[in-house]
Amino acid sequence: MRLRPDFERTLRRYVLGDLDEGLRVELEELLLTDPDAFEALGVVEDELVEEYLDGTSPAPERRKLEERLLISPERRRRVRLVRALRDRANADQQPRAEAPPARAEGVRPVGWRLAWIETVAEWLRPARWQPAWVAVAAVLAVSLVGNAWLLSRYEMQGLARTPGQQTVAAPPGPQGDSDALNRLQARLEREQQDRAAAEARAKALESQLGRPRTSVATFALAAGLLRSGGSLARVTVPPDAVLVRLRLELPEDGHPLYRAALHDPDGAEIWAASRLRAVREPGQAAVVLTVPTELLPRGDYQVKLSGLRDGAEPEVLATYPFRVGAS
Amino acid sequence: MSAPLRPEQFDTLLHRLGPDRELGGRRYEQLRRRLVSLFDYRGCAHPEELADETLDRAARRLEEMGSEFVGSDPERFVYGVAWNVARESFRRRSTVPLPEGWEGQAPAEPPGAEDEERERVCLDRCLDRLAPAERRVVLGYFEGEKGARIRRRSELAHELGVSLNALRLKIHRLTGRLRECVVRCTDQGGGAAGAALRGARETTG
Repeated sequence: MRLRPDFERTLRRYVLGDLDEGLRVELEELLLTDPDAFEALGVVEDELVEEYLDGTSPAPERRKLEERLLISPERRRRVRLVRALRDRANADQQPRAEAPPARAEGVRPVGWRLAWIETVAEWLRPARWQPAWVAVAAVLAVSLVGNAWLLSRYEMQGLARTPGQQTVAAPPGPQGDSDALNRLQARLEREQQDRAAAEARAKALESQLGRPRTSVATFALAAGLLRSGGSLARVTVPPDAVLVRLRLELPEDGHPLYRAALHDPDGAEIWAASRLRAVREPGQAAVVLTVPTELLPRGDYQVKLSGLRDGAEPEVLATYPFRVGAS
Repeated sequence: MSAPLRPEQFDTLLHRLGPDRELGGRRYEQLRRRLVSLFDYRGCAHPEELADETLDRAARRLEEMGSEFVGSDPERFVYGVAWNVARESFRRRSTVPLPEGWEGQAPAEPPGAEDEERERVCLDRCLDRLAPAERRVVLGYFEGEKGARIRRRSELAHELGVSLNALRLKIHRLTGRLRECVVRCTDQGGGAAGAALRGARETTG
């Protein structure tokens, strides 16, 4: 069993999306090929679900949990099961007539009621993002490449493999898996140290310079199916943009709040924000939807805007189709 | 659209995964579950379909390769295939044109109070079908609030003579079985928890 504190920390970082791509790829290979490692991931997920229900996760971790762990129907089912088990266990403990409220104090409503979408949207507001610098990013990149080169000198053969390769460096079995895990862990620790050093350097540079590392690209979209020329509105996301802000021009401004949902070409809702307020400017009111760029690879999308009013069903007001093209 | 998997292709994969068909089948299910989880964490749409596509493709390829397949670990081979499938899915997703008169579908609704109640009824039934000792452990584990619950878990581990980590693992396996039982029970309208739990016991572990 892989329940060692250091490996659990790695798995937590994986679940929360905090692992660098290289380590993530290696960990994914381990998770797929080593049933014990995958079971450890399940135990860590259980723990995160419990922390979420207890309301003990720090706010940033909680947001990541809502964004990553609770987005899957299967994992939301896990949340419901744990909550029901707790209720059941506590009901067994005390007579039903004297039973405390079904949910423990401090337990916040769980994420699937779409509250998470609002939370994530709130988190994505640019004001919450730490300022950083393009130059800093370059320094970081150079530093990480250097670190990777240094690390590669210590690498054992198996870990240098690319994910698509079929060759098997070590024979399968507990010893092979254990070696792979140890190498991965050692690499992770070195990477953590390197990253901490690089982040410290970045911070020092940030204080001297002052441009944001996370740029936000803004596009205005008019309601309606197509532009007058018959082509879709085009959105070209700059390579360094982390967020895209879509300014949805309102055909009518009669609702106190709005909900905007981004749909992919298959019609699936891939991002949404609720309780949005209109930004009123002379001659035009608009609602702003902020979307991570990673959700917008090249392709055609549509935003559906609904008006919200107390006690009434959401009213679909407009759709905003657009095409994301190459930058 | 690829052709359906032929039985001999499927058998080739099972044979690679286990010494006999039954063990191979169990490993196939476990591998599929892991694939679904990884696709899910990668943010792929329809992770279950991608997991099936990966396994089908791996089975076809393994049959084509026959004795030329030199790796001793088919799971690593499947991982390589999964990587390609994930990449293709992202590419596919970004190039699908917007159909004429396209209207987005309504997002899936979260389960309502009635669904949750049905799940709770099923959970009760599934718990009742556990062995008494298992039921006591799982309810004891989730008993109490925060600090009291942590103390209770230490006591429970002590009573069982196992480490806290071993207890966590045991609970993970038990709740996995319960979850599968509850899903089957709700799918069957809430009346077949016994059969559902037996089924869950067969597919996990």
